Amino acid sequence: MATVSAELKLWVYTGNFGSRAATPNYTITKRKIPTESKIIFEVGELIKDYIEIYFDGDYQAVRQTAWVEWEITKTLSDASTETITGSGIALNGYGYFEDGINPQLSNGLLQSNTIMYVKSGDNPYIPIFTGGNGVFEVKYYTGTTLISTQTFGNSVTLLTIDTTSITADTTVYDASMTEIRNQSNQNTISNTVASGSPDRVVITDVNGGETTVNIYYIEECKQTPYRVSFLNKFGVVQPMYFFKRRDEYVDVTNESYYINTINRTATTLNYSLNSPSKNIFNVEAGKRIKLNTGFVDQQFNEVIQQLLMTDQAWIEEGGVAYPIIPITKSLQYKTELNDKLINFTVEFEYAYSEINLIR
Amino acid sequence: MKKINVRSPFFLDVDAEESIANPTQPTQTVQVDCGDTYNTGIDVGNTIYEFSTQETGTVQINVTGNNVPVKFAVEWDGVEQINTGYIGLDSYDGELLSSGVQQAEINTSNPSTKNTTLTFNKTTSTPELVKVIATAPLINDDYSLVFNCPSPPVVVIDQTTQINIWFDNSGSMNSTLSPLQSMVAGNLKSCLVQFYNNDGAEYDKYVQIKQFAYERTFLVAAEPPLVQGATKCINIIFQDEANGVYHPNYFNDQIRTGSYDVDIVHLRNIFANNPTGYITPIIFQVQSTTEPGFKQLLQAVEDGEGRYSLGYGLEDYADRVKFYYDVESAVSYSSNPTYYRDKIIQGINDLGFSLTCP
Repeated sequence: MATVSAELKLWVYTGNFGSRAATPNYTITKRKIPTESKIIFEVGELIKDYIEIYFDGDYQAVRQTAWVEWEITKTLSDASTETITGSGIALNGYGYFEDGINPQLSNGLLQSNTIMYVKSGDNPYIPIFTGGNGVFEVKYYTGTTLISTQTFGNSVTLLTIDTTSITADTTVYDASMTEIRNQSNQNTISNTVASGSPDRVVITDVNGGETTVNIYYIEECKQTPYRVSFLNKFGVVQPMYFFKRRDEYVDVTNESYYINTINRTATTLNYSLNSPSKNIFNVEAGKRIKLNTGFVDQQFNEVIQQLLMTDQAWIEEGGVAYPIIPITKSLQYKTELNDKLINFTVEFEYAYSEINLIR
Repeated sequence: MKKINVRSPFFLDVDAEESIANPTQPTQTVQVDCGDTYNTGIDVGNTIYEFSTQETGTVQINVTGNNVPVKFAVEWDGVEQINTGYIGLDSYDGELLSSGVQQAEINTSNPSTKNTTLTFNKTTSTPELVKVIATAPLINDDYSLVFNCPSPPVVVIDQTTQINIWFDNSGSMNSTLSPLQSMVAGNLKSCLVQFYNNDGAEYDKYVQIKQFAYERTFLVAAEPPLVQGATKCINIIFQDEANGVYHPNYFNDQIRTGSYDVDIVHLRNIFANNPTGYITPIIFQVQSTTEPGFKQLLQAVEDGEGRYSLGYGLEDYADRVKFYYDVESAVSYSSNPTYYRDKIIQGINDLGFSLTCP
């Protein structure tokens, strides 16, 4: 029986799965155009309006997903109706052209690099997906020694790897698993703590496929490393470090006008040498920084590409995550063959005016 | 769970979506192995777990989980062996009924019944494939499955068991031959003749010392039962070196010889295509101060080291082959008559037999 029209009800919400409002966020009705074979709804942009991205530097408090449920009532050619439903989890990610329609991307590691450079003493964060067919186990190694294993429930989560604590981790695992296994989109993005200072993390999906992430702890003695966090291709906040030289700039703009400062009285005619005849107004200032990664693996071509294409990024300075915007517009891919040691330089501007203009 | 990456378009195809009246979701098939634990998180739809076992006996699948009901059925030889109905917490009964499940199929309770053991008797070795079909019409919270297969049978000696005691007579351990011959005709016979109806002639027919000079350990390890009437064979090998045949002067676990490849693949094929006990190699590495490489080779094969793994080692057949190291050479039968016999009996017992010799 052919479908002649369809009504889509679309809910986008956060919290526990199923806790949707009675009224959908969108209700759309479409009729099949005679020249087309089927009815489709494109809902990506509609959903995007309701995904709140919140990051304050604390990976335990990051908000980056929303539940989506839809109900489609089809009217068939015999005037009967049929209702179909579906659901999913929405992320602020994107697929490349090569990824095809409705890109699902990775069901395990939610970052493209399997090598991480982390400032010595900091906790590495590894975003993984633990929904259906996602990750269920993560093993942490130091060298060849297995130091701990974690089993996960579902949804997307960020792992925190504690570089110092060793002994009290079992309790933390239990609490995290409980938290992850409820069906809240917010709670499932949580931090779990692993033990020791693992330099290798093996992520196993439910099909037994393994992904290994190697972690290098960098002790930078001369420069001050900065951690930049950005929404990557998979729609999750990913950290990366810039270990080397930092250049800072401030760009100021203003407008000006000339005034007549002449003093004219009955006895005098002059003008003050101390009063400006050119005045400025609308003074605005913005700061820019130029950061260098230090020497990294060539797989960071992809990471830098995603950084340049991000729509939200932050830099942590003095314990605060300030919003920044990558303003480097071009990336020449580098290879170890051609470039030997690979360093990336990326320029950012702060996503606010240096003069507080917020009213 | 669908992921919707909203910076790219996401299309809902009205005609491709499933009907609400039909709770059947696309079925996924998951391959697992005996002994595996499979954890499932938030999920919906049907999942078929497939595993294979040659062994006969009790197959056991342990189910643990939370509250949302799931139905588990076990299928073997084309016949449904077990069907749990929908097990879980009874507060979901209404949702089950709404999704089209019949009341008769609901076996929920409070507390949840989603903790159970599925057991059936696999009476023949073939077909090997066992299917566990999990049906989850509601969005499942989680469950874990542990797949336990029957244990392989222990090695059994009976009157159709041929026992070959292989002696490497390439020259380097000739002085060990005589004590072995004395043992086979002496105290080993006294111990094992009971399995041959206490008939000495039958023992002599089935238990023999065989000599080989070509040093291809795993070729003789794969020797099938050749004595008329024999149905299985234990190949006990005493050897001190395989220099040139299986390795160069110094063993390197990144190098395999052509002869080794041929022999190990042949032996593995026999293991794979026959039940446990058809061929049982027990390999004794005899001490040698001049040929340390042979011991290293055997250890690499046993542990699956370097290139002696992934189909070119025996680490996955630990229950069907035994290795013993640093066996002394030329231990006189007259001064220590039980030395070699006890080694052999220990090897047999380590394979699951319980044998005590006087």
